[in-house]
Amino acid sequence: MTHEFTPEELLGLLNEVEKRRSPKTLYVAGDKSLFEIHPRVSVVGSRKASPDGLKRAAKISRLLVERGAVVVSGLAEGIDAAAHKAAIEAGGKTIGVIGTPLDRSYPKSNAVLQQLMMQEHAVVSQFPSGYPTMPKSFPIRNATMALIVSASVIVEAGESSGALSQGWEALRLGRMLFIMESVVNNQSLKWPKEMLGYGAQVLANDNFEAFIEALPSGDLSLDALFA
Amino acid sequence: MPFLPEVQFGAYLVYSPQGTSQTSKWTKGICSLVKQDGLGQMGAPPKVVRMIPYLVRRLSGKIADTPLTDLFADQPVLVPAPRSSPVKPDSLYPTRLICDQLVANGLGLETRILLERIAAVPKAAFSRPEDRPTLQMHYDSLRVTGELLEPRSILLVDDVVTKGTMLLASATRLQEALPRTRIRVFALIRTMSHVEIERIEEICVGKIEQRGERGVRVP
Repeated sequence: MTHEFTPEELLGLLNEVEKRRSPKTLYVAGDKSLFEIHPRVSVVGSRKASPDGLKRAAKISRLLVERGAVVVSGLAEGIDAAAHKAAIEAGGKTIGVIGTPLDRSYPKSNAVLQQLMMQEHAVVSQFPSGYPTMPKSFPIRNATMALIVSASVIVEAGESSGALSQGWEALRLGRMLFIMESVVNNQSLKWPKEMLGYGAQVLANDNFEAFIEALPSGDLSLDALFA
Repeated sequence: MPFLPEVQFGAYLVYSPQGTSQTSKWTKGICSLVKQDGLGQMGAPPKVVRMIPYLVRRLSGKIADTPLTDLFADQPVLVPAPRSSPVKPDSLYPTRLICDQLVANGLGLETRILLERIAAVPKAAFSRPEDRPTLQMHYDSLRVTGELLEPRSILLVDDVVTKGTMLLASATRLQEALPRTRIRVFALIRTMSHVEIERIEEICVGKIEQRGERGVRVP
């Protein structure tokens, strides 16, 4: 069953920058309440990921689930699928943000995973049923994913990956953006240095706890705090 | 120009980066929400509030008879503290939002962007203490920009102040460009390391001093 929301209905009031940069409508299948849980953290990256990249994506997902975060990714092959599957296996919750309408899957190999998530987790798209899927639909959905989460982690990505759209959008929205240290150290890539120059952070073993600590949590009582 | 030896500062709230009590954890939540211009809920039935306007409105209702009134008494021009890196157009700028809200509540004359970051420096929160930027690193990464008609008084406004190194370097840059202007700083939130927070509202005034390569906040 699909439900239709404005971004404010789904995510709460938006600030001025968010309003200017959000889609008009979001179509959701599954558990809408996952959009009320904080923090939501995105783990994204290449479709053609390395074995180490897949392991890193799964490890970050597991650690996020252990700390109560909802893992958000794009239901693509590679890093995205590894992040979703690890979150589910760890007993956590996960949201898929897809570049097709909800009644379609891309790639087909993730159709079963998408169905499972539409029943037990949540999948969201900004594209209505029947809307044609084009190559640009995927980086557009990555930008929307940046809006849905409070932090994004790019595990592995080449120069043309949709994850880069997400990174730049996260920086504009003032969300935390983390790039895995292994990617930053890859001298053949230009984009990590560019994003670090605009405020992205390097995610390494020794600052993972600081990253988790900096995420907004949901159990904030303004009434008690300002009593 | 050498760095200013000290600059007067004031702050409204406190937060504990390492605290483990419920209140300390909540103060961390406030900090994250301010940095993302996020939302909170309060009251029954719950009412959603945007954090920066909510906090500034509370401050404006409490500021009378506190030492903070002096920082705003001469109707200073409010200058948003720069972010830790350059920003793309149409990006969120929390310190500017704080300035605009202060002005809207009668605290300060106007918001004027006079400082911009031309190169990224490491964020203190994700750096080891020895890797945190020095005064010189901040100074070299900042540029004075915009309308330089000399105001009588400037209040440099930050969201969260840790040691104050960035604010002291920023104040030095401004003083260099505006030698006759009185420059002081205000932060919505100041960090209280290695303590548990009992009350989030702890208005204080003090100073940020140069100590070696970095700044030190007192208190």
